[in-house]
Amino acid sequence: MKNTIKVERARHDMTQAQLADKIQVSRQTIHAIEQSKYVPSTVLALRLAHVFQTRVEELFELEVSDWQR
Amino acid sequence: MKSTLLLPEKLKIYGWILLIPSALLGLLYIIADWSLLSIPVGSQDGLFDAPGDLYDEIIGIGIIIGGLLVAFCKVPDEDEYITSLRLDSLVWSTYFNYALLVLAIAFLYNDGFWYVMIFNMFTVLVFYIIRFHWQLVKFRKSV
Repeated sequence: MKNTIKVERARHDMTQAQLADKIQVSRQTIHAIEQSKYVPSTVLALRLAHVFQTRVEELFELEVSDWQR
Repeated sequence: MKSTLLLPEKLKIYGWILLIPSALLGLLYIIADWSLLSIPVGSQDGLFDAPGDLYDEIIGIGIIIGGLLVAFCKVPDEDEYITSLRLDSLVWSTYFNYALLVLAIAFLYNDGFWYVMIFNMFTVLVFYIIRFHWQLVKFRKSV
């Protein structure tokens, strides 16, 4: 799954630590999400969208590999 | 998201305080047959067989309770990624534990196997603790 968290974070002039604080996770979790090493839960995705005042679909995009079991 | 099955963070220190001495005394008891003290118990008659000496029972329970606290108390920065590390570590330690047990069943007999069974009572928990904390160190060091 692709995401635009890093771009949105830059657009909002936010550090990983500041974003982590807002959505109540560790900074390393933000790093893992940005590197696409971790796909967050729906709750976390919605919190991210809330912080960036956008929709979840704007932040995350399915890739072909996400359809493979 | 609330992970209700985890224990409060502040209990973890008591887990270490219980686990480390219990594990050390347990190792000395099994390997060197050395006891710190003796806790003899009553008659052999009754519903349960008398254990004779409560020392090893207390150590065993100490390792299990201490181990559970160390393994499953929340860490200060517990979040859903760390929960995923917990799942990974639990699956890994279960595989590793049973892989070793399969080897022991195949190649060890009599006393050797008896020792493996003693250790096997605690190894899933111990492997989980080692794997999870190692994963946690790597995670916290990630840029």
